[in-house]
Amino acid sequence: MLATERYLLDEMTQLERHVFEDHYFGCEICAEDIRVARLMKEGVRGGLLGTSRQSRWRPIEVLPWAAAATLALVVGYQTLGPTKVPGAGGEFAAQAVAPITLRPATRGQLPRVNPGAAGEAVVLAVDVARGTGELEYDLRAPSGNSLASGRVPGPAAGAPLFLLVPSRILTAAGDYTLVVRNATDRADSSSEQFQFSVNAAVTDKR
Amino acid sequence: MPPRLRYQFDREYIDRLIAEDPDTAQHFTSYFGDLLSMKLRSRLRPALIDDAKQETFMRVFATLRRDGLRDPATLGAFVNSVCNNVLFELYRSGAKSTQLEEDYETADEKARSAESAMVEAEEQSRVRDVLAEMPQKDRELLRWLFFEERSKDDVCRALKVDRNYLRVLVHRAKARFRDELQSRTAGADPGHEARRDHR
Repeated sequence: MLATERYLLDEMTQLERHVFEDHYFGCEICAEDIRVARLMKEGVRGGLLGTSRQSRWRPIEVLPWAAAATLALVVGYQTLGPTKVPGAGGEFAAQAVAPITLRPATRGQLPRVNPGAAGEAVVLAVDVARGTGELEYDLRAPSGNSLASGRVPGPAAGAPLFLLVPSRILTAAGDYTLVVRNATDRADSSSEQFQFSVNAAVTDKR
Repeated sequence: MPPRLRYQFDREYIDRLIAEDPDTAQHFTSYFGDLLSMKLRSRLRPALIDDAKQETFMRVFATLRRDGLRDPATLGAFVNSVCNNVLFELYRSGAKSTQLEEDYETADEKARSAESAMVEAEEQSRVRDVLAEMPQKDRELLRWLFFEERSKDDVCRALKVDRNYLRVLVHRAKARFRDELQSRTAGADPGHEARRDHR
């Protein structure tokens, strides 16, 4: 029952996979079903679905407050998506966090980000060169896939752009890239790239 | 979906394959290429998948030329078993597959690569258009599962469904994807239906 869907969702045991593969290699109807499923899945994985700025997950929040180098923020977990964190007084809990500063990609060691557990968040303080006007951002996984993108007001002159990134989207170990560009000027030369790395050991523990 | 001539895996098909009939060879690699990609994706790094596919095809062709196939209807099972052997050897060696045969026609392969790239680009464009037309709920579900690779438990919690119903939702999304893809393919190629059952 719904064998192709179980196969697609990696819900079969190894033996079941072998049996099903042996079947669909010889059954034209199931082979066609597999082909359609592959087109759909690979199309989505390949980014052909496009990004949605209306996603219910609201992957990144922009914090417009200017701050000093070390910043303590109080964040409401309601803004991070459907996961509710039990805490005193109701549906969300407050937590102090310290931002990770990102500077334009240079040689040398990348800032290391510890995503923490699901339900937590990472605050990135992005040292953008152009702080005025509207900005577009695009956060990319180590694979190159776009995880989140959007348009935000630029920070005040001299202040960094703060981005609140839910830990649950930083699931892959490796180097992440944040591209920021002037929203009104799409020329490549106006974009800046910032990178950080997620430690494999931390990711595996979650 | 892209027009595909229907073939029967019978004695004539095997004979045409052995005789290196271009249309038959194209159908063979296209038909089984998709199935092999699906099979290999979860088992090999992306860089090794094409190598494993090509090795499988070469071994199948070599065996057919040398020994033929007793029951043509088992061609699919034969391809799968050859792929399993290739996989086993790759796991053992941890290396790329064996070298190409000396008579491997690289020039022909290059020509087919250009054509294949064009077909692939057309297919990608069609898939993109189909995905754009799907209901928002389907798009969101597919994005969560296959692009953001969220855990299925998370997706079930967000949608307030169990695993069984999650499969039903994926099944329905796939059905809508297929219907839209077929309608676009038929519209793009009115002769598609007329060419079915070609042998």
